[in-house]
Amino acid sequence: MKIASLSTYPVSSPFHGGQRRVNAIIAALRAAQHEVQHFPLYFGDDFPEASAEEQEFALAGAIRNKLAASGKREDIHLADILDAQDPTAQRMLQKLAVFQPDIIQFEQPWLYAVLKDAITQDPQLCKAALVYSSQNVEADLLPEAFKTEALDLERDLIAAADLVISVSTSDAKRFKGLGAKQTVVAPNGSHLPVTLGPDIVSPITQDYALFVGSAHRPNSEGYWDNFGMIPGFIPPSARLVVVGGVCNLLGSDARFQKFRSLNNEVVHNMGVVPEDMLNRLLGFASVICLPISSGGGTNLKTAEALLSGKPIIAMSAAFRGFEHFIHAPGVFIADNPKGFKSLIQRFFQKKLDLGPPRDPDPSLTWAGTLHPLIQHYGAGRP
Amino acid sequence: MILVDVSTSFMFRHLNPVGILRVELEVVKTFQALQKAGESVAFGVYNEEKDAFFELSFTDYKALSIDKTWKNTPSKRVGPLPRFAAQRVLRVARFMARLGKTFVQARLSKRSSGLERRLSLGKALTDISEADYIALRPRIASLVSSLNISPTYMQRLDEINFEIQTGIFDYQCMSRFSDATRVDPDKVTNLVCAGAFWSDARHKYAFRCKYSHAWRLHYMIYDLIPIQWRHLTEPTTKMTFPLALHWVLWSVDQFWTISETTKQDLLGYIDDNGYPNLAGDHITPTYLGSDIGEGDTESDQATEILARFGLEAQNFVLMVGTLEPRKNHDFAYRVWKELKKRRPDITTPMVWVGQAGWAIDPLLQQVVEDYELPHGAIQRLTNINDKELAVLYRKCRFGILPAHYEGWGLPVVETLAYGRPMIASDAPAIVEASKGKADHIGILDGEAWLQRMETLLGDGPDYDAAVARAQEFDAFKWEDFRTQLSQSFQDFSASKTKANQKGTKA
Repeated sequence: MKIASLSTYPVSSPFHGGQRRVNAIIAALRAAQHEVQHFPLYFGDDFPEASAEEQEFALAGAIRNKLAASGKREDIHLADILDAQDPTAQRMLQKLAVFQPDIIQFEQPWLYAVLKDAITQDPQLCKAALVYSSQNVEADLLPEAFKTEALDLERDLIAAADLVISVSTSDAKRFKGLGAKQTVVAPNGSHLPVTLGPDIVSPITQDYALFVGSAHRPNSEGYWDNFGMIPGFIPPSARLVVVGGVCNLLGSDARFQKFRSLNNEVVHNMGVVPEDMLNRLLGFASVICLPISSGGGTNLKTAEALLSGKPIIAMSAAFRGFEHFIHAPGVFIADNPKGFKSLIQRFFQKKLDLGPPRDPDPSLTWAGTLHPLIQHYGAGRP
Repeated sequence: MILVDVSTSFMFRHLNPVGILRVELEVVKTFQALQKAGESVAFGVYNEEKDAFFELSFTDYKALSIDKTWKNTPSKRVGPLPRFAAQRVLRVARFMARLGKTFVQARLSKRSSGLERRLSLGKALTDISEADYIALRPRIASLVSSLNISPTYMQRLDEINFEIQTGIFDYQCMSRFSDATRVDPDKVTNLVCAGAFWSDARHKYAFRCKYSHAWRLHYMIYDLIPIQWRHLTEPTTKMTFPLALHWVLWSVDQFWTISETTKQDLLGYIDDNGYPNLAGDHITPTYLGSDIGEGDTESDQATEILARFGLEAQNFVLMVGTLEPRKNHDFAYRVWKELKKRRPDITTPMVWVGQAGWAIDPLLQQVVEDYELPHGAIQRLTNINDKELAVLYRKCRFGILPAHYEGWGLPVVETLAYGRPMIASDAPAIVEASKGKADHIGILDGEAWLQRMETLLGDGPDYDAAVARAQEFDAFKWEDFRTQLSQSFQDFSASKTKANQKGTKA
């Protein structure tokens, strides 16, 4: 089948969870002999690492400036400022028409609002099956003021979609409630950990706890709520290593700056790092922290942490969709900041019983988690 | 061997033993008594460059901190000479040449240590007068800047110049911090630190020694103000203290705090931020003494001291403490001004005793410039010695301390110890320190302060009752502090020895 995947971000060099999921879905579909093309319509300034092909669909920063000037958001209000007549959107629609997909798969509902009319009016594109692929119920994650608008957009796409792909059974249930005709659950996964050669050395001299997060507000709030301003739970001989876009939200925060001499010594904000560095950081970490107390969907960092075989200190919300791993060896759960910090402190004091080594469970790899989707597409057009 | 850290006394050897230096002195006395009783005790100064402690004899410590007779200047600094004297020109030229030579040597020879460079600069500076240094300083600074040398070079030069001028420059630093005096960490069993552990890297050295040489670490904690009240703390300490405390909390065996309030603050901080739990009995509040030791000043001497300051006995209100935002002189000024406005007949002055600390200049400027504040209504006294302070305490009408927060509240206990009434804020440690013998009024209740001050300025039964209440105050003594410190140290060591024996048997 010919499948067009549409998103508001490029995925050729994936950093955040959404990119990594779409990248994995495309790879899995191609591996299953489907012909897949990805069409990202995105703000170019945010993704300088996009490939030359993807850059063809990069939107000008001026559009976002207009949105910002009118106090609007670049997700739910994208259609207010951008329509199918925009030259970049036009270019994308032309390519899409040439591709003649059997399935048009939208990641999140934002682009559907922009392209809906153009797709339904195009004699070829209107024949394609529509799929809504979602990592969360978006409306649940947005601030109160935007929930209704977001829910309207989601409902609109769900009503038109022949299939909704969700990451958990609870999300699938919600989508059914919103009118989904058909759902398939394909949880988040991860790749098997890369085996580090003997000549590879740790990028950090000390033992360290690792926290990986994108520049997503719940990630930074999870940090402040659970780690706090003073990382007293990390001994002077160890470090807390923070990786990903969340570093941009943390380093400049007044709460980090207040005790900056302490935080600068104990907390290493590595920022967004390339894939091989992330693999090294994962490979040498003493413990992986998942201070996730809010948000929806399932967390691919949880799958990644479980596959790494490393000890994990998490909040139970991080194990949404991975509940049956909550009692696995080396997994420690605390649902309040004091308990969370205490677990890390006790880990470094070697007071936690880590149990036997945890072998990677193949069901957590992308091949395992996306299997239901591949099966579904294998059975023909939704 | 018990190693008693006296680094802070050494660092501030030019100051009178007040505050933290006084506590360090009392700690030294405590452990000197244990030494006499047969314990192996050494007094040590930490040197950051060598990252080690160096032994200081008790005689040296006494000369340094108690007697202030530390003679450490082999050659006196040269005096000034007439502006155009050839000898002066020669001196200056020689100085500049030595400065250059020292700098080049430091660049070329990686082997020359910081101490050697410091000594070399000190010797060069000794050979020019203070006046010549001040005159030359702008030129040296511009040379340093044009050669792209770090600005800390000028800071170091100024620091050395200050030490020479105040007679505390250490010409014997090479022998003082040598292998011969280095404290062998293998011989140390316990480190006792009551000083400013956050001012250098001694807390990191102690941390390492705990794990490499099984040291037991005992620290005195005064307060958590640089963390909890960091907005009212001077800029350097609020940066260095939280980091140093981090190392300490991961290595400490026993804490002493100066109040129950500080103990509770510390336990709360440990709990909130995930530090390893510390058993409550490993933290002992040890109250500081309030006997200044100059209490027997003859009455004619007292009269003379008051006359020198233009004060009359029983007719001035006293506020003692470093002038800094946390002490809340701003509040005292506004309340006092309002009182003077309502009761212009009251001519009693308020006396602020203490050195100007950080971020206080704008307030001092306001007080000086205030058109409505009667002349002399607020007076400032600095550089007060113990004898003068004792007279001020004994002869004041009453004392005040509207501080935002304190780890203890020494001026409160000292005022009460001299039998004078006290009005203070309701900050927890101050309430704890006064043992119910002072008036505590919240600093949001200005009217209540005004009323109480007005009452205590009048002669009547209320004032007499306040005096009587103050005189009931059971003052804390430094001797009690030493006894308590010694006892808790020995109890702690005994409990650890017992636990170790149990462990060995098991």
